[in-house]
Amino acid sequence: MKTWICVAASILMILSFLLIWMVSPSDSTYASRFSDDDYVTVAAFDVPEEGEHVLDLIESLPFKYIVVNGDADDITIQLSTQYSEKALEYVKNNLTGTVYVVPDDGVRVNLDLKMEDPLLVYRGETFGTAQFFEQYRNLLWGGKTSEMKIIIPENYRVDMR
Amino acid sequence: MLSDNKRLRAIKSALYGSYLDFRTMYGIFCGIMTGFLISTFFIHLFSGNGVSQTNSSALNSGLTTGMITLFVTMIVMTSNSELIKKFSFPMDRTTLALSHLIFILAVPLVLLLTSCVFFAAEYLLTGMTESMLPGFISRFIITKESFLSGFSSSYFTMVSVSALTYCVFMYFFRYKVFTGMVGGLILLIALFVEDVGGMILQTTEYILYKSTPGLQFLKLLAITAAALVLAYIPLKRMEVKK
Repeated sequence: MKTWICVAASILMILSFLLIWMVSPSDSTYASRFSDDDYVTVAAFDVPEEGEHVLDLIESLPFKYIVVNGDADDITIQLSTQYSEKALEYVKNNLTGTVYVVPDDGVRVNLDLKMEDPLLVYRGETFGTAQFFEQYRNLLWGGKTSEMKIIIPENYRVDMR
Repeated sequence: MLSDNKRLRAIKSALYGSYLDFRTMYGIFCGIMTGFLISTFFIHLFSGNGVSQTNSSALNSGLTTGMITLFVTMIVMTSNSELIKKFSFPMDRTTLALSHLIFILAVPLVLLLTSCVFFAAEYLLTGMTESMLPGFISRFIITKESFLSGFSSSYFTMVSVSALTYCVFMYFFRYKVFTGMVGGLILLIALFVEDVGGMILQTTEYILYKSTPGLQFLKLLAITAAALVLAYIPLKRMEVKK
């Protein structure tokens, strides 16, 4: 192989390594981007308020989400501001949901979430071997830094079967 | 003086032989990585509709592809035909072992750095695609520290896996029946005796998971050193072609 190709390839490799390192946030900066204020509501659905309910969630969303109980009367879907404004707007315009109360007992509530238009979510993950270490497992793949939050009323519990 | 020159020539020729091996595997590696890049940004995008997600970045693909290509390369490198081809006068055992050691240490580094090049390309392509296509959204799950830890951990894992493969196949090609029987027996016991299988899993977990990056490095270094020393024994017993 010609020497200049080797030199150019080596420089390119080192520059790429440095570029990735420079554009990546530090651990603390990354963690600070997932406070409650860093989520925006993209959809909300009215559900029966009185009594205890079990929520059956049917979804085909390409997001990693957590379900939390919150002080709300409806079911709120929030997306992380890690995504660009354009992306948030796109999800807001296309995310639809159907609420169906099972008539037999009125306890079970089905929520069917789906996107109307095509959506591809790309996640540029770090080396999988970072998962060997607990602090990165929790920080990067743990529930505290999930992309989507589904906030359900206090009197609801979700059935994740 | 004459002997020094001969030794230097032998080292050069051994390294050139390793370079030829590397060139082939590097071509395969780059081909696979380019394929991944194309599939992520073109096939997914222009395949029409639906909702999908892709988590595997070039860093992960590079790690997996690198592991597999290195595994295959180690098998080829330790095969009788390959060793005998290189193991001819004035090459001696130490020179050959040294060239293999350099190969095992240097190649994972080059492969991981190449993954970084592909990841940087992915980074740029992501920005471009996101601005062009509304149905494409992205985020990067990476931090400075996780990148560095992941890089070093990937490197040491690749080196130790290569060294282990090198060791196992160095014995396998020299003593096929014996190594095959022992290996097969261990595999059968691991598969069918729950305790042994569990013990192997626990040991792997102890080495890889229950560590800080520094501790993991020490454990993997010990495995690599032990594997390379063990692999030198059958190499030492080989005859030099005159």
